[in-house]
Amino acid sequence: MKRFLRILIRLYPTWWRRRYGKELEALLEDSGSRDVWDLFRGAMEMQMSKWSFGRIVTVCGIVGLVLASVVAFSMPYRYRSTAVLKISQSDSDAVNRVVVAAFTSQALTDIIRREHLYADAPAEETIDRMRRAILVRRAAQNLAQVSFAYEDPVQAQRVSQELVGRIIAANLNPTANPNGLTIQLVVPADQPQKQFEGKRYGLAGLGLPAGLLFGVVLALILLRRAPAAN
Amino acid sequence: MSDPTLLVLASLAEGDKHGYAMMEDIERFAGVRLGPGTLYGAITRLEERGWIGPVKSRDERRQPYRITAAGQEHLAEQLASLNRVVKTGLSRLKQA
Repeated sequence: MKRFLRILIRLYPTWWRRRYGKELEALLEDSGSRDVWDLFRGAMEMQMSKWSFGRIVTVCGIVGLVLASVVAFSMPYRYRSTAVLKISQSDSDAVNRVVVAAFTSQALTDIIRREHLYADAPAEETIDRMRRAILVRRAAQNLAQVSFAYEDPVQAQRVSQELVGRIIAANLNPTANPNGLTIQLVVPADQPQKQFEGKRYGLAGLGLPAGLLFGVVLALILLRRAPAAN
Repeated sequence: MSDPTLLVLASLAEGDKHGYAMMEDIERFAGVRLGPGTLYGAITRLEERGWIGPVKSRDERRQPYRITAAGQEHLAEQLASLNRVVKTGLSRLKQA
């Protein structure tokens, strides 16, 4: 631990270590402190204390971009399987009613259990994740696409087909479909061959403005703490 | 009162102290245990501002610091300001 704390002290700038390095080592020995985060934060603060506003903002922007890219590109790749339905009327409210009746929480829970989806996620998050992975959109005047994105292409296809089946079943229920909408399967769920990028690039790109914004706030705080020019 | 620079000044107002002595003293009178990085960040800023300065010592690893006249003036201003806030807050609590 002592060795690790000495390494942390090396993160402080040279000018600072020359002046206070030995004192800080003695303080760590006397107090027995193991506050790694406090030392790291102190080192970063001293490193940036002599930086200009522009340099702090630029470095934070780059760090934000790198961190967001690491997170975005470590996310598992997904495959999106799509089916196409033909709808007798172009009444979007009527279609929405059928979709809501088809994709109840209970229905989605049944699919999640049967297909063992999102095994690594807490149970309370799985339905939300599944809803985010489902996409229902109009493809043409009387055509709608229903798709589902998942890490495994075969499971994505099976679930997409199941979702379409639920919509058709709900369509036969007069409560969910009082307008007599007719929905037919035109193209069954395909087995996707290509990985779906999703919002990977968007998420990575968000790191830059987020980092820049953080840099502005940090630079303002550090400049406020800096001694006033005499 | 959790501003580390103010806590260090308040500690040195009693007399010269090195880092560990300040840490212990601050914990005693304010109930706040400053981390080593926070304490030395405050010492650095205070020395740059000319509010504290090192005192000659044989042990350079346990360097004592002393509050300067400018530091005392700054501390007095800050404490007077805090005192006004405390008095106002207490009197308003009594009225409520």
